[in-house]
Amino acid sequence: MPDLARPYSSEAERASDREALLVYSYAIESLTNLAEQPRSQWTQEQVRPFPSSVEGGPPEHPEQRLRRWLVLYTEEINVIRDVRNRLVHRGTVTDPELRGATWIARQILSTAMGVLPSEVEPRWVQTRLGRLFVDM
Amino acid sequence: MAHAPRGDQATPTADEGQPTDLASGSQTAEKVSRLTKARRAGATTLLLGWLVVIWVSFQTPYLHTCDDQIARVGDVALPRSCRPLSITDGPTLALLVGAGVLLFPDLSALEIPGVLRLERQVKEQAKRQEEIVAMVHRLEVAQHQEVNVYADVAAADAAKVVELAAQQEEKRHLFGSDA
Repeated sequence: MPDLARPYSSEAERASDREALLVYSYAIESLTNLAEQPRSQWTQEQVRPFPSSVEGGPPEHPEQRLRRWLVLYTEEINVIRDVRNRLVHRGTVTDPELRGATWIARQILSTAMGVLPSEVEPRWVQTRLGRLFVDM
Repeated sequence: MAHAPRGDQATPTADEGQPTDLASGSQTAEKVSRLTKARRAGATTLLLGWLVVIWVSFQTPYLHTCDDQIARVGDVALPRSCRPLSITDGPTLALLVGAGVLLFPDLSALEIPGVLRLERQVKEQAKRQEEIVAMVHRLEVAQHQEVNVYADVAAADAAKVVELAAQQEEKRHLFGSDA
């Protein structure tokens, strides 16, 4: 885990994390909505990006996977949502909060999609999950 | 020793000679007091003089104002017509104006209509100013407290984020084993 208490070295670095958090936050909100969608209404395009099971586990529909994900990460999602709202509405967000929320967002997105956290970048989210959100 | 009004006192500072300032303030106040007494005595004298002039003018044949008039009857070409001094005659008017001038500072501070209202306005303005100063003070205190509250909340939020971040490895493992 990186040193989340470290302040940003430049405004550009902070702006980069800010933009990343907005993308991650949008993806998380979309996954939250997708988790509420009945399994019968899922399209193949929506099912495809998710792994068919956890490693070594039984097959699992993405709807079930996202429901478990939602239950486990409710607190993280609320924190990310709060930080995102304060960023958008010009509230005060400290560097540790922004850095931590961005890092957590990458973690829980990677868990939801079954990939390594290092793979989760704003561009990856937009290309990999963009289609998923359009179909909703 | 007469006490100086609050506004006339010099404000002593730590570096300045405090006794000297107070002494000069007292001397100035004494001068002002003497001038005021002399001014009021002068005004009183003028008013009394005015009363005496009016009384003498009405009760005696002295201090009359006279005009020459062309005779319409009799032998004298220009008989004199005299009457007591009225309030609009020069001597009495001069006495009244003099008294008024001497009493002007007191009247301006006390009972002339309109001017009295001015003094009251000054008092209200001072009161309002005190209220504004108190309001600004309250706002500063509230703002300071608000900043402290924001700082506390931000610190708590940051601590929560860090705490959640520390749990991620465990939660990832939990998510993988919970299927």
